[in-house]
Formats: sequence, C-alpha cells, structure tokens
Amino acid sequence: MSEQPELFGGDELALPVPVEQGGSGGNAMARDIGAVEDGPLKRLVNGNFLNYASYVIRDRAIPDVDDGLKPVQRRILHSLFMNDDGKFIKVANIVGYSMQFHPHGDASIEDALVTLANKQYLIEGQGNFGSLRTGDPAAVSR
Amino acid sequence: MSAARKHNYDESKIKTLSSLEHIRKRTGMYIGRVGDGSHYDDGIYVLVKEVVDNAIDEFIMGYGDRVTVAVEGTRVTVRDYGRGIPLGKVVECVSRINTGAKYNDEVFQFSVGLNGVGTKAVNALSSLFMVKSHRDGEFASAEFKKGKLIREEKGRTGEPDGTLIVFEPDPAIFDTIVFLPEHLKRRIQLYTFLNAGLTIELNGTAFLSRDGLRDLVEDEVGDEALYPAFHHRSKTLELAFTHTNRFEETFLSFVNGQYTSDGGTHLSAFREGLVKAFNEYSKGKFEGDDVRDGMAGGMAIRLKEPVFESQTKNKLGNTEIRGDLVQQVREAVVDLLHRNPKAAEKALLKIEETVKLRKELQSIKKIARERSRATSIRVPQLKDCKLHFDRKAGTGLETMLFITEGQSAAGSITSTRDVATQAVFTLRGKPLNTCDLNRDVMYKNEELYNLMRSLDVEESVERLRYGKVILATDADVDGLHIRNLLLTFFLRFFEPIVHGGHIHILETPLFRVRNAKRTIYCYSEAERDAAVKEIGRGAEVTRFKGLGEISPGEFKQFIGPVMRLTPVVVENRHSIPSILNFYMGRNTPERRQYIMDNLVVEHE
Repeated sequence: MSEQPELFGGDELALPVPVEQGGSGGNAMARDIGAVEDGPLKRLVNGNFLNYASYVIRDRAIPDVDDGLKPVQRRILHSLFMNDDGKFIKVANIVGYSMQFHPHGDASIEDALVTLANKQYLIEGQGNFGSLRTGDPAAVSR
Repeated sequence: MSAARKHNYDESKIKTLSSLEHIRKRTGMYIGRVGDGSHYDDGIYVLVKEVVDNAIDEFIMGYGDRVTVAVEGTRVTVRDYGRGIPLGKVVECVSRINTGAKYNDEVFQFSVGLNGVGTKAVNALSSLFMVKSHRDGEFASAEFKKGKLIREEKGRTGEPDGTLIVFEPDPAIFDTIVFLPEHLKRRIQLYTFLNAGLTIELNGTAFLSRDGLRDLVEDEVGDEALYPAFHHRSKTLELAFTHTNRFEETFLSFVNGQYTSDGGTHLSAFREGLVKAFNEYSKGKFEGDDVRDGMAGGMAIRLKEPVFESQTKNKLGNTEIRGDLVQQVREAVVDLLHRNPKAAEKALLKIEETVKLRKELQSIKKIARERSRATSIRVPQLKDCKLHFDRKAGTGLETMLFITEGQSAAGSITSTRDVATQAVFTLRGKPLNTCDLNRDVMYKNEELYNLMRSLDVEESVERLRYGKVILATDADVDGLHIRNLLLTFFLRFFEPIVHGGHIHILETPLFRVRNAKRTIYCYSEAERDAAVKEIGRGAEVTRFKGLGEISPGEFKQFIGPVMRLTPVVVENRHSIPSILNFYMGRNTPERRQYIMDNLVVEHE
C-alpha cells in the first residue's frame, strides 16, 4: 500500500488551530479565565468557587505558619486545655465541647482528634485509636 | 328526528375581500405569527425579510454588491444597488398582488420570493410605505398609507441604479413594534453567509463574508471545532461541516437564501449523503447517528422551482430532487475527505469514539436497568410530589424539586412542603465532579443516576418532570461548593435545562435575630447588623449553619409563596466550556495561582 503524498505540505492552510481531542473541549481554554467574557454564570461560579476555596485554604486544610496547626486541631487542643483536670477525658466529651467553636459535624472533629493522638502530638490516648500505617479505624467513642 | 333550525345563512353573508383587505385580515397566512418583536420569527422581522430578500435577489442575478439597511425606531429603510424596478410598473409591483418579475426565468432565477406576494404584504401592513426606483438617471416613486396609494412622483436623479424602500409597520396590526438588535444582526449575518461577496450595512456596521457557509459553521461552533471545517461550493450546492464534542448534531439548511428551520428534502439528502460519503471513504459501515454525532454543518442549495410547505417557507417539499442531491453531496464530501486527509482522520477518530461510547453506554445502561429493577423501582433519595411538569401540555410549571445537601436539610423541607407541588431529592455529601467525565458516569454513579431518573431526563430533556429545579444547599461555603458541582453536572450533560431557565438557587437565611416580640430573618451579615440595631437590647442572634438548624415550622415560610429564588442565567453559551474547565477542571496550577491572587478574606 503506497503512502499517501502530503498534500498542501504539513498543516493545512492558514486556518484556526484545531483543538486537541479528549477532555471537554480541550485544556487550552482553561489557561486564562480573564479572557472569558463576564456574565451572570461566570460571576456565579466564580463567587462560589472563591468563597469555598478561600475558606478551605485559610480555615480548614492548611496549617497555620505560627503553630503548625489546622483550625480544627487548634480548637481540639483548646478544648482539652479548658477541660484539663489531669485525668483522662472521654473522646466524645471533647468532641462535643469543641463543637462550640467548630461549626461542623462531629465526625470530622473526632477523626482529627484520633489523628492527633496517633501522632502523639501533646495528647495521650487510652484505648484503640486505630493505626496510621494500616488505616484501621479507631474504636467507637463511647 | 331532524327539525330544521332557523338560520340566517343566505347570499348576503358571502363576501369577497380585496387582496389588501385579505392581507390585513388574515395576516398570519402571509407573514406567520404577528408577535411583539421579542422572537426571531415575529411578524415585523418577516416584513424586513421580504424587502431584503428582493434586494438580495438582485445580487444573486449579478447586479450590485452592496445593500444598506437602516432601522430607526419603527422605520425601516432598505436600499439596494441592483437594476431597479422597471419605472413604469413601480406602483403595481408593490401593490397589486400576484404581480412580479419572478415568473420570468430570464430575469430572475433561483429566487425565494416567487409568489408575487412578499412586498405587497409589507405594503398592506405598514402605516407608511415608500418605494423609489432609480434607473439610468431617472426615478419613479410612490407613497402608500396602509396599502392605499397617496402619491406618485417621477423625475431625474443623480443617484445610482437600484431600489429604495422605506416602511413603518402599522401599529393597528402589530401591537408592539420593537426591533431587537440581536435578531436583526443575526438575520443580516445569515444573509451574508449565504451570499458570499455581498456587503450588507446594518445601521452603519458592515457585514461581509468571503467564505460563505464555512464562516457560518465557524461562527456557530467557535472554539469547539475538532478540525477546520470542510467546505464545498458549486453553483447550486454549498455545504460546510465539522465535528465538535457536543452531544447533538446541529444543521442549518437554506434554499435560495431562505432559512428552512424545519429542514425538508435538502436537509435529509445532506444527512444521508454525509453518511454514505464517510462510509465510502473509510470503507466502513457506520450508522447515520454515529457519523453525525457532534456534527455542526450548514448546507444551501439553489433550486429553480422550490416548493415550500407554506408562505413562511420553513420546510422544503420537492421530493423529486432527493436522489440526485444525495449523489451530489456524497461525491462532494468524498472529494473533500480525500483532499484533506488530516482533517478526515480527525473526523474518523471522532466517529469511532462515538461508536465506542455508544456501545459502552449500551452495555452499562443494560446493567443499570437490571440493577435498578432488582433493588427497588422507586428512587430512595426522592420524596416526590403529586403533580408534575408536562412540557407538551404546558401544565405543572409550578412544580419544583429541591436538591438538598443531606438528610438533615431534607427533613425540614419534607415535613413542611406542599405535597402537591414540591418534591425533595437528598444528596449524600458532595456529588461527583463531572467536569472531565463522560456520559457513562451517570450509569456508574448511583447518586447521579438516581437524580437523572428523578428528573426523568435520561431519554430527553423534554421529559423534565419539574418546572423548577432548585439547589437548596446550606448557606455555608460547602453549600457553595455543592452548587458549583451541581451546576457543572447540569451544564455538562443537560445544558438545555439550564437554558430553559429551570435551575434556581434557594436563598435561606443565615441568621435569625429576635426578641420576645419580633423575629427578623437575615440573609447576610450586613442585614444581621441592621436587624440587631432595629431590635435593640435583648436581641438573640442565632446562626443557621445548615438548613437542618431551621425548625420545620419556621421553614415553611422560606419555601412558600415568598420563597427567595435566584434563577441561574447563562448569557453567553460559548463561554460555558471555558468556565467549567477553569473552575472545575484539571488545571490545578492556574487555579492555584488564581486563588492566591483573589483570596477572599473575611473580616470577623
């Protein structure tokens, strides 16, 4: 089977660069959102996005440079400090107390607490706190 | 038993209307819907079209390469630089019905306006109509009011040959006369695409297309083309097409410059010819739908005696041309494919991908259907309502579906809703980000599958069961994120629902400020501060972190008649892919930089 000769030499005529296949419309468009014209949809999505992203970065996922803690961890340690009487305190009690400062579900606070305890970061845990290496979950906090 | 009833039906009841009276009485027969100017097909635009069509017919016959159109308020002016109406018949050409030159092949071939009716209708339906024809330094003009001649003039002129028509639609026929610039612009644009080389000036802005239908397709598709459009142009047939990653096919068809919105013989010949051509070129056996999925194309033919299905010319009826046309299209397309092997390869790749996707989809659909039949027929996350939206019947517009973030929020709404019109669908946490996923994800992800089934849009968006789809997430930042995720889902797979104005966002209060006597619900911190001032001492402020913190009794007012809904509006549909890709796609480095540049800092 003979090779088909290259007509028009290389990439055709001076036509707009065809967008690569694959992905939804090509990643070439994702580079600069400033180039997309303003409109109600862009404002809506942009507003939602920036509010969420800013919150997560500042108040959730990134540790603070001053003390190396994420907000949830700081609140847990504060709760422990406020309730410290030298004796062991039930996990459930601390989680409940932290919810005054941390307006999210108890599951997330408990998971954070378990992780802190496993890393032995100022907290001593009594009982099955699971394992960071194998991924075993902690026992139910009673 | 047939007792004869008394009646009054005698000879005196039979009337014959003059053509002028008939046009004014049965306007619809001549120009379609009267409307008010807000729709593209409303009567006033058809008036403009009839006049401009005649100007274009001059260009088609090779006379004049420029037409000027001016629309000021309710006055429309069209000037062509063609041959000009023969001076002796100016008045008759615009007022006597069934009079015209388009019965004569010598003088006019391939014209659209052939019934000899168009301009007369414009004249009859205008409160003011003026025509002035220029030929070889002389002119003849006539002025009409509501179709009745009031003045004629003849004389010498220095102006170039051609015809000038000025008219103002009659307010007695058209209640509202408002010309929307975007409709005018679109019509003029289409004229230029179909008549490459003709310059049309609309209120000072010039439109000109050199590549005809190729420009049309590229304008329609924007950045989404997978390869540069194929373009074929001959005396009687012009076609252009390309593939995109859209989920449907878009074809625009034209006969003698007339847009046939309902297609007809030529469009079906085009669609068939395309498939035959691809199969011949690739020696494959593709099915029509696979070849055309995601295709955007335009085709225009010139026919000597077109037969349309009505005066409004939306659908071509000449069945005898079909066989030949399919042949012509097939040959032209095969030729194009051979001449542009790189683009042809991209097209074939796309077609093969479509075939693959369809096969995968079929097998997954089968599995999902069996699975759903096995578990339960009803969708567990949905608490349905009694009435539903029926688009065809036009009933049920007041029905709504609330999509909530979790069971806590759902509970409040479910207990206080109006069971007849309000339904609730509960998400479990954050839904999947569908930005970079394909349609098959809806069959793999149970939650999205159930949402799609609850809305009943699996087969077609026309079957949507609710007049409003309301995103009822909590008023916190995670709620905002879920809104974006849901919008991505709808815009990616069910874009028509968004364009139809069905998606809304429910605004629920963030705070409640109250004392023993009054309660004020606040939607922002600014409102809260104002409310605290108003209520004064003893004000108790509660922050609602989620919808589940609002008691059912309180909630009733937030989903009642004074519900605060913000509709989701899309103005520029071409920007949707860019927006979704940037905010929800895989471009993490750019997004990271963007967040850093635009971080939102709350001042507590």
